[in-house]
Amino acid sequence: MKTAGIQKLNDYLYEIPQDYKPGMRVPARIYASHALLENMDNAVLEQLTNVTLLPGIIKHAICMPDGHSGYGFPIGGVAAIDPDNGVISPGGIGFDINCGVRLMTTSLTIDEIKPKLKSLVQMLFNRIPSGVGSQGLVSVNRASLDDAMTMGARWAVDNGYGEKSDLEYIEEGGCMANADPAAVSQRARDRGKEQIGSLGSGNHYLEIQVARTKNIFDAKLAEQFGITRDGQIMVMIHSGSRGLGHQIATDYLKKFLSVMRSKFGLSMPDRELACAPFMSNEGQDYFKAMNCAINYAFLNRQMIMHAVKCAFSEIFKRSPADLGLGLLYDVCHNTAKLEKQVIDGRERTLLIHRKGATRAFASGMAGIPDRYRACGQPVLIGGSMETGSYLLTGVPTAADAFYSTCHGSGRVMSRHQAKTSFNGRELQKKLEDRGIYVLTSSFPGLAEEAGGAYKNVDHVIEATAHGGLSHVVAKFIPIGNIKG
Amino acid sequence: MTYEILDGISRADIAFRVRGKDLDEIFIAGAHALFSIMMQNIETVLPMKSITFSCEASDLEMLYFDFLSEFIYRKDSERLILLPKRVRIRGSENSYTCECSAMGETLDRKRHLFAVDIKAITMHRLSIERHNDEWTATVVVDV
Repeated sequence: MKTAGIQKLNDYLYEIPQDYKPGMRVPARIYASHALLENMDNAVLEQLTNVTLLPGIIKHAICMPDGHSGYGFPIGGVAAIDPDNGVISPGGIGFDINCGVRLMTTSLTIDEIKPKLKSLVQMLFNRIPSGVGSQGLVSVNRASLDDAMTMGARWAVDNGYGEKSDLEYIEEGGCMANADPAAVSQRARDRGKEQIGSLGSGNHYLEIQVARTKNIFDAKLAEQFGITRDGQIMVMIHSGSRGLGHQIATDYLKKFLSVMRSKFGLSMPDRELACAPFMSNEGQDYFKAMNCAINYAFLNRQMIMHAVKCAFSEIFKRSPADLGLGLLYDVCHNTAKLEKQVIDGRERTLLIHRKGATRAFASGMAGIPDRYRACGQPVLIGGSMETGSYLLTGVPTAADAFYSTCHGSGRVMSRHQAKTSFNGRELQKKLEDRGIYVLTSSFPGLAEEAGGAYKNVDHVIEATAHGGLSHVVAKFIPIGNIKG
Repeated sequence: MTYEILDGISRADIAFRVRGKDLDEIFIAGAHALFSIMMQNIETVLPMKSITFSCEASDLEMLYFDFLSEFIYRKDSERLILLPKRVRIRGSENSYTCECSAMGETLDRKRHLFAVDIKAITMHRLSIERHNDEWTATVVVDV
């Protein structure tokens, strides 16, 4: 990234002043080390400064340490908008609404799982739909889809896919209020009805990971989260709202573009930043439809978790409870949510857009499960399949970032560059030699997700911790992976 | 049908450009590019089913967005992989229409190997331009 005009506030925080380009309503900030900042692509700067043009934005637009260019907002972009006088923008959320990560604990250790790892990964690959054209674990009719979009993960639990206690360990209890299926088009329903309980493709995955004592950075907190043994096995699920969410975003992008200038007198430099006043009928309809997609994604990950429990149970011939299979937490990456936050000493309700960023509430805040209240909200960072993933917690200093933090490694190579740099089949073999057993429905897709295509996750986490965005609890190393 | 991948626009997603001697050509080439990006071998799609559809929009770029989005919609909702055979663009200034006949078949995971899914067409830097006798379309897709 060309860093001319960017001011260093401290070693892990940079500011693009409000006079950087015309029309900026607030400055923009990037949380990163100098090295991470230099390696971000120039389009991040353009996209992040475009975010500052959104009506109603307060304080500053933010980019996380894993930031990279997308469309509309950069990936890793955060904006807090005054809902009474500001807008909602699908480009600040992304097409994959509530793409997110779920982390499961087990009581198994690596020594117990190793002899059965290949058959376990194979069974997970056979059982959990992944890749293009796969059909979900359940098919629903119109009435059931309406219930699913309204109830989220609760729908799964009510229909026998999981435990009631799971719900407490999902952001928002696995169910957003203000979800109205009437705001969801028939086309979105058509795309979503056959995909409940499917991973999807691209960077979505299911991963078996191991927690080593040497990678536990806060043993007391790790224990609070159920990580108590050296070599303990964890399972991470990364998926989103599938075609339903993609179509809702497409529908409202079009709708907003058709009215934003003529009805609301708004104009943005990137049509992907199409927006409408939050309090307008159009803004409210999108909010209600987006909440349906958030719920669908919670439900999707709940269904996948249920299938994971069944597969483990069959392979080890023990009940899921006996194997200690439980939900540690489930976080959203792509959302806009109304949150109460204290700004300049005054509590305000803000519409926080996070695109490729995670909510990270500090200890004591409402919205954290009772059992974790004193720890801070768990934050789950999915790294590349080669390097590892992290468990962090929210901290008070993240108030400056509207209690937001990073979400992954962040790409350093485009997908095209990665595909020309890596070979999927060779990568699979190389990973197996390193003890990481990977199955995929797409070898070109696997190459696009190679570890070398991503930033070093350790560097991202270092910047996240030093930037005051989160506290580091543990790192998990992959041993088995299903790529969509 | 050829398309060019453009690096430097989006690291997370995929940008491409197609060229043609008229609008019909860049519409057809754009849909072929979608499936060439998604599939490992577009030649495996057989012309077993035929469909027609139309779309209308207030400008050419929005029409292109709608046209390409239709192929993504049909892939997910009807599990159809379709390639356009004939496209007719009409209109001017504030009103454009596209009539398309397309052929293809139901997605068969044994024969149709995919590289990656395209979730959506984006409006980010979407452009249709004419330089003398050549038309170009630039698109960023979300994967």
